[in-house]
Amino acid sequence: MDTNMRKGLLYLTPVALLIVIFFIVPVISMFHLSFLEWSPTKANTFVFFENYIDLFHDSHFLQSFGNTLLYTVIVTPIIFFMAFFFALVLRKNTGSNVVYRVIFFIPFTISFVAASYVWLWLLSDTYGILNYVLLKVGIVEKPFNFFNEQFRAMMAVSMMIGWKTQGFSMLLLLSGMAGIPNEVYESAAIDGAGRVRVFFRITLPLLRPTIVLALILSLAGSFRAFDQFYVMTHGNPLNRTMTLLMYINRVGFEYFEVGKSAAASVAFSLFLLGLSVLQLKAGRYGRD
Amino acid sequence: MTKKTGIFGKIAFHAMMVLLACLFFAPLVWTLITSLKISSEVIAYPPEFWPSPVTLVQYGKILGYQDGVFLKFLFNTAIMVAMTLGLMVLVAYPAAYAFVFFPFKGSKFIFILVLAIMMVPFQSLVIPLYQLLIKLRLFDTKPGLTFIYITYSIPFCIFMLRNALASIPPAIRESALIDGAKDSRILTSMYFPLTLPALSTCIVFVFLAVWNDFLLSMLFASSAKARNIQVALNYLSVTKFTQDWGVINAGVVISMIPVIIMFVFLQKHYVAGMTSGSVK
Repeated sequence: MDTNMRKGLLYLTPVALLIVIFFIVPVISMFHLSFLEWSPTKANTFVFFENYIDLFHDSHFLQSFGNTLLYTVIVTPIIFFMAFFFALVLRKNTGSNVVYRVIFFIPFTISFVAASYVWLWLLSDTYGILNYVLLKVGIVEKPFNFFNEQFRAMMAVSMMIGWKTQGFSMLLLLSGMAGIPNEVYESAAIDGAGRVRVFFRITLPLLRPTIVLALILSLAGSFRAFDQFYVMTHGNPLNRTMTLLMYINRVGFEYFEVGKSAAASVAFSLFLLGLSVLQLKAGRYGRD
Repeated sequence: MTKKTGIFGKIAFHAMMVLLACLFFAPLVWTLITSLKISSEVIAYPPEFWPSPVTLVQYGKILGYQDGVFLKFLFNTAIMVAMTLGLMVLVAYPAAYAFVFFPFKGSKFIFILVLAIMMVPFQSLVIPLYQLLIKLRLFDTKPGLTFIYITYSIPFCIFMLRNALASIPPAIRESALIDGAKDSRILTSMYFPLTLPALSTCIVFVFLAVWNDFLLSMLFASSAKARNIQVALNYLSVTKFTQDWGVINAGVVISMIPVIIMFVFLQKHYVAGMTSGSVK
């Protein structure tokens, strides 16, 4: 063993211990559990893919997958266009722009739970200030319930999430924009290209890798949605806002169908792993 | 793009930005205002904008509930943040240093393994993690949660610190080695101060991950011994202070103050670190 290896292993021992105990063991255990008919009282039986097959016959699993997909489709463009707008107008590094960036980023630092309560209070149909304003202006005739129908509830949560999380995508897009060399813009100006043309012919194409990255990250984030729905809708009305993670937790911790919950976890992980691979590809593409 | 904007354009731009900033802060301001009202005013219709009188009675209610159990939850969260941050520095720095200065056969593989943690969502591992904590007798304890927090936030930190260490000219280390300094000393007294910007980014990242965690604390803590502030906020809002929006908003404000203060202090490094680290 050479010196590098001896010292390297010494320096890496603590992190290796953490990874083995709290990551590798649980990952193996998750796969293992997904092949078992789990029982708290008698020995577990090995059932091969039965849990996976059950999963695809479980209407709640399919529903929660559909809900999560619907939520992702709604929230991703909301986050992206807000972030893109702010990044575009704040892209120059002036003193005031730096301050604006921090201001628009601050909601990102608040927890999902706190942000959910802030918005539940705003959107309340009995005492909510938003309903008061809507009534006053005459947009609605009676208080609007934001949470009694699937699409409305999804929209309400998405608005909150857009407000809370766009700052992160904004930072990503800003860094992408900072990476476009100034000379490109200068030569475009010499050629007499107008603003719109410069935007569509230069900014947008050169920013593509960052845009892909921002979209994939927010996609992965929406697929992990849990806190915001747990607090704001609790899966209601009639499980129509139950997300995949809520399903996994409910099946595992409330119905004690551990095998099925593990199978759903495996499916969920593989899906997100696929997204991560795409993300790595997008990142590599950006570097070239 | 390079065109000069006129003075009116500038005024219009700042007017728009200030308006948008106010809109962005309005939800938070409304929460703060509500938390300073007496209960009858909280639900008054039509709503009064300014609290009259301004009162801290809602804060008193949530902080005084059950002999200050809310403070206990705040304390739990602060302890876990501190433990995770301490462990992060102790574990991530040596690892990042080894990845940069002690390359050996297989160290690249270990690095990829570390990054793999970022790709598997910890949310999908809750059942095996739950069983593991029970087996280790760490269920419903602060150290148990801390170990999970550190495992799932350390990949990002190692990645950031490795990049920061790699960007320092290696000549500094070489000349120190010639002078007879040990690696442990080079790391603590020379490289540590040089990587403070990257460290700030890691601190913000870890602080937010631990302080704002809800799922793990909800599943892996079952008593006031280890539960964190987010779970407490949800628990009290659902059980004790249902629809008591004055108290709920006071709780929300208390839970937000530490993160916002921390962020305002470290925002400069965080914003810089975030934008360089994630794209490359």
